[in-house]
Amino acid sequence: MAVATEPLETMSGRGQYRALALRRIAMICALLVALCFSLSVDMALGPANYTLKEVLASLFNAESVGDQLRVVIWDIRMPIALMAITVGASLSLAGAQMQTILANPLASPFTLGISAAAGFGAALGLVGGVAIFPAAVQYMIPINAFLMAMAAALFIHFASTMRGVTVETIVLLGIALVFTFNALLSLLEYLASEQALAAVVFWTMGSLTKATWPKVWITGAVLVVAIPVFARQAWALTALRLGEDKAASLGINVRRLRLHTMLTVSLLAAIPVSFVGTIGFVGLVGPHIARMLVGEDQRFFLPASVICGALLLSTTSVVSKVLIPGAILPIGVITALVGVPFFFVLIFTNRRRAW
Amino acid sequence: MVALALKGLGAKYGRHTVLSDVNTDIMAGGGMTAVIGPNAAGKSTLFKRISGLASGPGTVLLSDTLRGQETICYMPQDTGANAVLTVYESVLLASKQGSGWRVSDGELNEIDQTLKALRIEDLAFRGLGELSGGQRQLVSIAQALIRKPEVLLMDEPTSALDLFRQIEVLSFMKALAAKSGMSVLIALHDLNHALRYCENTIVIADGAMAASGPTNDVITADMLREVYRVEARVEACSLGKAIVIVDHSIV
Repeated sequence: MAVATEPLETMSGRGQYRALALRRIAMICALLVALCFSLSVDMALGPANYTLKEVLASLFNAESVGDQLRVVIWDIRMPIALMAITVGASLSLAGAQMQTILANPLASPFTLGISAAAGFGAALGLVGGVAIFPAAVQYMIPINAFLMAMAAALFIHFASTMRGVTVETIVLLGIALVFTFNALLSLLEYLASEQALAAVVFWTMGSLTKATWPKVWITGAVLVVAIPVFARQAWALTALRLGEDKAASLGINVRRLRLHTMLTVSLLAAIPVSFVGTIGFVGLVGPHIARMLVGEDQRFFLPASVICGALLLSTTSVVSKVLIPGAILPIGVITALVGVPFFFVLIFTNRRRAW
Repeated sequence: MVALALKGLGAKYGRHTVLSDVNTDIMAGGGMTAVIGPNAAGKSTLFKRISGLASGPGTVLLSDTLRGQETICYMPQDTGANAVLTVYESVLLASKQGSGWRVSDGELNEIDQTLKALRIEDLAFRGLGELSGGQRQLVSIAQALIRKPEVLLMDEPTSALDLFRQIEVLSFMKALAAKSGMSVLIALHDLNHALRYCENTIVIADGAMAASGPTNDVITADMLREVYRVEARVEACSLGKAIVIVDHSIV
């Protein structure tokens, strides 16, 4: 009898682990299905509402639908709907890895000052007509926003390389940056003309309406480059959550991993913000939702964070169209209104730890 | 079986020397060596230096020169970090560093066996954040053992364990070292554990080695007075084994 029970006992942990992994893969697939559904609905809704069947026909059999439908879906709605997905995915992924390397649940592009820096950069162009990169004046606003966001991210990055700087110091530095750039932004708003002020306020609320195919490609390309970079480091990034000493003892060069991750995260955070303005909530909460659903093994957490962020912003895009038909509300505002109740439900109903 | 010796080993953080001149005779594989000393004496630094996590002068000699640092595994003190991971995942994580995403049945079987050997298989699918301090120590030991080190450096692994678990873990480690030929260096505060389980002892005080050699020769009333500032006796218990009895501290 003893011989018979031994293999069963040793298999039980293995079997349970396989089942757990399968559940997580199923969860990621379910999120992906939800994302596809949300994307289709997002493209169906607008001043002229189409059915899902019409949307799918124009996507997969463009010749079978009329010119008008094809133009509306492909040239107007799809860039906006895909921008919601790429921006949501990028910000959520950036937030996920910031939280991982800084071991802080509050870390996100928004809380570390990257979004505030971008807002200030955009305001410089909108209020003062200042182009930080004068060679491309027509793209002054996104380029200003991007350069300021990168400057803030690089400041955080280089500060983190200095001796004696702990992860807590980096978070504090980020919060100091938020206050600094918000103060500078307020100063610009105070000095701005009425028209420029309205433009700045609208920009800082975040909006997907200016999405174009090139912007979608750029944001998507950064995402496509960043995901494999993190995927290769999946075990190391997960180990970082066991503590710095434990990660180092497992042979991980913690300092180098943190620096490389921070650089990639800077790009991931700066590009979307420069195109669509300040969308604060996704980068903070997307990763938390993913963590609650699939845990922190990066092999599951990484795709789940990407999809959760994309889904959050895509759903928000749908809600912003449904709330007041005919008017598209600023996405940055609606994101929090949609995300917070969902996040609360998860926190209060989930028996597992959120952090 | 890998024998280990330390020659003129020191450690520096920047320009500050935090550990100097640690020398030992050859510590044969298959045994346990205690590293003792007051708080902040440099025990953890010594472990980091041996495992290559800190730099400094001196050399770590391994009997088999073909083997590198990867045969040495440092098990740091538990910092209480609470990732949203199960015990099983955290042990898998330790075994998979530097390898691909795919997890084989063989790798999972090894985790099962390791957890079972430490009698924590019932914790396998509990979250790390739900564990007590003692349970976390056992998980840390599992994370170290799954990597099959030939030199294992354990930094106060019994500090959060109850008496039963302390004895259980130390007995298990001693038997495992003897069976596998692994060298275990273990930082301990309980000197009676050092006397009972460790053949050799290294004493670290004020960032330098104060003594090194067979445990019964090193743990003496004089050493306890000088290093720990306590008046103590080392006597034989009713079973004839050496035990430390502390009378009072020296003010």
